Amino acid sequence: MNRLRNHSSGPLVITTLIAVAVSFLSGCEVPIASFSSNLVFAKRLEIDSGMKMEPAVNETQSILAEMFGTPDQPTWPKLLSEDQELAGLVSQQRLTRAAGAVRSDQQDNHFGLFREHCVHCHSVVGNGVGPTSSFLNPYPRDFRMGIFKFKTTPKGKKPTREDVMRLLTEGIMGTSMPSFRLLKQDDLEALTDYAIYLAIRGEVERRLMMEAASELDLDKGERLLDPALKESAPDDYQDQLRLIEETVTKVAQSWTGAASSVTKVEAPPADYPLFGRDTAGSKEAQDRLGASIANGRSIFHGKIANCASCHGNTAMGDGQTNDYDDWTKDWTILAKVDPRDKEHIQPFLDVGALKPRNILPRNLRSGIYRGGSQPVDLYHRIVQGIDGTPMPAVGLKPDNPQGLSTEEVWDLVNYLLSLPYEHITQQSSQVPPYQRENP
Amino acid sequence: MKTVFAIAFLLIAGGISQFACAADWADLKMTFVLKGTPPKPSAVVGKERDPICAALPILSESMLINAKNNGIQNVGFYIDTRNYKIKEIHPDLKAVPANKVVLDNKNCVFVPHVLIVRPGQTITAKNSDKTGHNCNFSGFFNNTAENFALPPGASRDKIIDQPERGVSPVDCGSHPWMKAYIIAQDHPYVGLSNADGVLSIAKLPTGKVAFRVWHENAVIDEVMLNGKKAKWDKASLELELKIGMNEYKVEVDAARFK
Repeated sequence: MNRLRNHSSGPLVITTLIAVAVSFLSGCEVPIASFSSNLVFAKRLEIDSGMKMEPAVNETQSILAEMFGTPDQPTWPKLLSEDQELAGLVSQQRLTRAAGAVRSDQQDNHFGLFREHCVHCHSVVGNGVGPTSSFLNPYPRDFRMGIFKFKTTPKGKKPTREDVMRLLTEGIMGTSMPSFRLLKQDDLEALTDYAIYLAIRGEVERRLMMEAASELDLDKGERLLDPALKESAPDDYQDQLRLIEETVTKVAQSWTGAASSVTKVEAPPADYPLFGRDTAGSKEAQDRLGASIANGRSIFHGKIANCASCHGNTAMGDGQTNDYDDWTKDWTILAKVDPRDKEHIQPFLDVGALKPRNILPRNLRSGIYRGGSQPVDLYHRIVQGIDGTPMPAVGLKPDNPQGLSTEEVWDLVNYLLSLPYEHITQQSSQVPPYQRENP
Repeated sequence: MKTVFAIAFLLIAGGISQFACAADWADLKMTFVLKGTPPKPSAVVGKERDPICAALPILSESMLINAKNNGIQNVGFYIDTRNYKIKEIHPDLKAVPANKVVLDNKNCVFVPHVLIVRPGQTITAKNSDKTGHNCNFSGFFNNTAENFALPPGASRDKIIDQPERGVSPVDCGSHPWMKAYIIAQDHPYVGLSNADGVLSIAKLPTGKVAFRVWHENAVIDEVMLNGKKAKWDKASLELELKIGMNEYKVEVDAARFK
């Protein structure tokens, strides 16, 4: 009987499989009419304001479509392209190249690059909830808060264009973000523009929704931009329009301002010994290196940098492991929801949030550094902290008398670089090597 | 003689107008009381990681209820700009206070737990503990995020230059139970209830004024206001403020809290 049933349903199964396969293959060719709305943020605002956010979500969506276009036809807002300072931030030509369905011409120039390389993790709207996202650890980045971890600017500032390009070229070690070094330079430039475009669009969306939740009575039908006012109260209409335009301009300006806020890296002293380079150097260099690493170790465990409190006394990332990153806190702590409270996080999961995970301090003995493994990369992480995470910026002397000197930061860099090679336990001199210390 | 009369007249007239002006404003006193059994404060998670904090009896501050009078501490109360546009601020309150607002890291908690600042004011974060802390100002929407390490005895300044729409949390990454909240509104009409559940806001405009209520651990939407059942729609409450002192007692059911 079972066989019969199976037999009779065979063609149906095959047809379905073919249909699924075809839809997968042609998935990228299907036009995508609109970007999805930030419903997770809307849910938080709903709890906070006590209002149904649906009207604001829909209105924000249509304002954004007017300004930023659609996934198939993205546009760089006119008011930005007409602004001398902001026009060059993103090129319309590159946006068009990165957007839309995946295709290529006879010269093997690729189009639809974002859907070819990025959407399966970051999704069409850049919210980090693509089809593969829930299987990945860490989760892919949600661009819409405008926060990026690995960059050369202080906390609270946007990354530079070069920072975004570096992430695309190098990838992010220890995560699922691969290196796209093999792509053509033009392709990387187009993807950089598109990522910045999505981040700006997403941040504008959040700001407009926040504005609506804080300043409007949505239940009474108040709107961010009320077309009825155009005739009846043109001044009020202009005020509303100005507020929206200022929001867009302000977010774009935060990106153009990044280049001037790059952290100045103070060079180490001329005789600075570097782990790796000087490990097998002259006796003198080795001695200097030994002293530098020892100083770095005491800074690591000391009260000023206080690294051990999170990264653990063993530096294996097993210190404080109960915290969350800002992307998670944004819809949990800020919505008065405990990330461990299954019942209260469920409504957020239902609208697309990914299950909260604790943010874990890096295991510094693994030799894998997400933001780059060059000494200068570690310098940036130490003096800037890491945006979106609990990692603080260590204060620098002389501005912060209780901070570290730059020489001390470089000693800490040496210690960090040496950590993957440092034994967690040192064999005591009293016990011969063929015996266990703690039998 | 005429001059003396004229001066006297001017002084009296001036005095009256001053009086009239002062009397045109309202003062507000609200007492927030919990109805029902207060929950026992829970122990915080993760303090065993730091020997200095582990030795301290740290309890969650997300709901502080006065055992003597059931007063609810740390209820924020401020003008709801959705429903009330501030036309005038009392002359005494127009200027942004010049003092710095201190946020201490003391006994492995933030003191105070909730801060009220005006845009233009500076928060001085300091560490009075013997362990290292950090102050992670990342819950802002408009102000620039910053997160600085604070060794024992250190202090750092954070300028708040923009108003915030909501209430912004501050964290310490080394001690995730540590939470402080910043209320940064673009006006002086913000109150915060003390250990007895009492908050005061002085020199308010009179007439119908809408207020917004905030508590870290509750959505306060149904209360007893001066003994009468009241529904606070959208966390908002409209009060008819008369000249002089206006007093209200707000009873909140324990079920409103998590």
